[in-house]
Amino acid sequence: MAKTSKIEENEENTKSFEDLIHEVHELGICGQCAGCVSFCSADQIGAIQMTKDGPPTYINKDNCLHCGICYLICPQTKALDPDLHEKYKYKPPIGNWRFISSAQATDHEIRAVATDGGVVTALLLYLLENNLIDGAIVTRHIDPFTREAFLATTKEDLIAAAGSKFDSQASTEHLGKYTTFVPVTSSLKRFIDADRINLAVVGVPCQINSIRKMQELKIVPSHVVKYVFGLFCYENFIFTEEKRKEMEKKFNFSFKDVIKMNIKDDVIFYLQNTEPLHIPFAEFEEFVRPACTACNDFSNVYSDISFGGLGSKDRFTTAIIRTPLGGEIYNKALAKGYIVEFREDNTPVMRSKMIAKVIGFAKEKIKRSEKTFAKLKRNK
Amino acid sequence: MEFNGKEVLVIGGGIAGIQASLDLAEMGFKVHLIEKDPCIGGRMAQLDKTFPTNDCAICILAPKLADCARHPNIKIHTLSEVVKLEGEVGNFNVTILKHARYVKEDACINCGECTAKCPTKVPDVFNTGLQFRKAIYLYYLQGVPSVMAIDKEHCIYLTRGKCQICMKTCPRDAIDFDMQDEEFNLNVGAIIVATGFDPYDPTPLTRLGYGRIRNVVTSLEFERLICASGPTKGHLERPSDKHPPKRIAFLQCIGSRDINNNPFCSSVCCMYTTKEAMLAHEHDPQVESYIFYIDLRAAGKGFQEYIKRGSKEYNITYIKSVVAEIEEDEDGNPIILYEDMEIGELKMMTVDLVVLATSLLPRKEVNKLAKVLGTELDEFNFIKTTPFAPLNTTKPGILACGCARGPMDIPNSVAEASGAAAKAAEILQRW
Repeated sequence: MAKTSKIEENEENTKSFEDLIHEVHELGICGQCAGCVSFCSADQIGAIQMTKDGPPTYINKDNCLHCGICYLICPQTKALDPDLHEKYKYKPPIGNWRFISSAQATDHEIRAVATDGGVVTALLLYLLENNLIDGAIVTRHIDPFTREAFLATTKEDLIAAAGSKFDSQASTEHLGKYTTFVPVTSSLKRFIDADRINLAVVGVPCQINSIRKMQELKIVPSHVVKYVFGLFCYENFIFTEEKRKEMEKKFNFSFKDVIKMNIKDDVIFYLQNTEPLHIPFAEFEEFVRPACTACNDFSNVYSDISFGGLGSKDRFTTAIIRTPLGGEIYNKALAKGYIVEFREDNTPVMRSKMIAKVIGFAKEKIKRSEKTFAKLKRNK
Repeated sequence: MEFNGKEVLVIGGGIAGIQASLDLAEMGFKVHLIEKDPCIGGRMAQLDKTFPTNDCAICILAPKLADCARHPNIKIHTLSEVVKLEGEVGNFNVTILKHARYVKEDACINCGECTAKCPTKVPDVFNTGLQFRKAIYLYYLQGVPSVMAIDKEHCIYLTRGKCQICMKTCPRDAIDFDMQDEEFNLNVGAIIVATGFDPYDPTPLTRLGYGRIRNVVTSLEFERLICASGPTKGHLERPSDKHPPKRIAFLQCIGSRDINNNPFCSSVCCMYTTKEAMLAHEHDPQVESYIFYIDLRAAGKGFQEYIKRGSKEYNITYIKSVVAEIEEDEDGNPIILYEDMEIGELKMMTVDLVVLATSLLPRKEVNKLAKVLGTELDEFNFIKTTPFAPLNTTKPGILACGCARGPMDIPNSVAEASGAAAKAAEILQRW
């Protein structure tokens, strides 16, 4: 039949999930951002799924329609990078940006639980309270070492999600997955058929990358994402029980004493009764998710606003405002008093110092990614 | 009526074009009905109800759509436009450009498998962008022909060579990505132009806040919001927080009777606004409406009574006024600053929702069409006709009816369409 032969011909030319397995998964550089799974409309009949601690897999290979969209939106294939570069006016190493600032949430409840200044939570609260979004996809702890993505629709939800708090009292017996990384993107899946809904999404660069690629193709469920908040991300770590024991041994501390963890210039464990423990990234290398070493985006270049602690003093958030939309909501939230900037932190000198720090980390990450790919090439 | 061997072209598949086509087809002429959208129906299909009877618009229109589709003497050419015209009255040679639908009209059974599986979601033009539709879509629920079309601007296969999910899921093999835009010629004796209108886009009037204040919508958006087949399934919700509005302001003459925009009166806004306010009250008896008008122009049989009924029974307050500006309060409620012209005083009113009665303008593509056809336009870019031959354009053999030649309501458009059909028949009989 004419139709069948034409489809087969096209399927041969279309790179699809099989090629992702060869070109991404087998190299160990799948970031598990879940972009492919969240999109896969064939998912309804079960083509691919996320796995607990590895790249996504086929549920049933015969169900795959070979549409090739998973390949297009994968952050590692770079198939749509030229389009995104143009749309978001990308320039290396930290992408396009309008202004940078150091700010803090004004709400005490938010500040109490925030990792840095709580600006992400405060801006989400601004969006929610002003009906600019119906909800936000954020993450919350389900136990000390595991976070899950969920839809926050109230201030309480946002507060539950804020920060990277370590609750040493909670039981660690039932833990399934131990990682600082959360597949935010797959929680969008339930919005495939939603129509009049606006969401904000908070994510790390690989997640934002695949969401932006989905938006570029105008495919579900990215149509519900109105605001994209990116987090600075140098890498994520694996906190399996085994790795945790190794860490305790190597750095001579106990996870029982950890109150809070943060990643700024280095990895910081805030401990009970003693000074915080600072560990340089170089020494933490063996605990890094392998996919992170292949990623070249530190500052989340395609987000509306990128956030992180880097460059700001403690209890403050550095925000890089990138898109006009990001600028609009940042300024409105500032004017309405959801966040506050202090003049001494935002002098031209301070701001250039901030941006210089971000650029430094961004360059480091690009270098590391180049190294990783060079190594992969050699191994081939 | 049996085909009498003579052919005629109708440009525009709205209510005027449909009526003209049906009349001519019934007289035995072969009618080629040209429509640029994937389905016929036009603006009337987007309306919820019609004045002054408050009848459901699609309920009146749908039987006519079906009549058109089934009539042996009518050939509907969707996604088509006229690109060239040669010859003269009695013997026009018309070149039609038919854009590829990428769906075989005779094979598609409108089962919806493809739209369910298509991954691409884009703003739904028919619903004034208030909801999404897929890249393969039925233009609207009751659309005729009731077959899918592929939006080639957004289809991932047509833009990037990937996907083809629709083709793989279609149980009827109706998807054909090899389809090309094609040109073909028709020989017709007369032409009727019934291209209708475009609503004014109020974005340039920044003082009214359209696009900036979320609870300021246009009248066409309001029609979709209150329509049972619309994005909210007929539950009237304001855009900002999806709450049902209780106080609605309607602002008249937006983009018309304004020397900076369009000086002419759109003639239907006073009436359709009253209708919309009545509908809002029917949906929710707590609704109070305020209509900010310059002059109430209810020129038509029963129209003045309709407006009286509105203020008596439907909680509508008519305010003779000029609106200066709209601002937004903390909760997203629009605040209207206006001069009450009855007492010459500046006033302020906070409402839940503002509806802008946008005027009826000539179609954006009308310049191009007029050039192709060789007909003149009037000073406002409507098709030029004369007062004593109101359906004749400046070129013999080409007639115009409905909003293509000036703003008018549905009954007038239908009457003109029948008039233009009669005129066309007269020409066709002679040659």
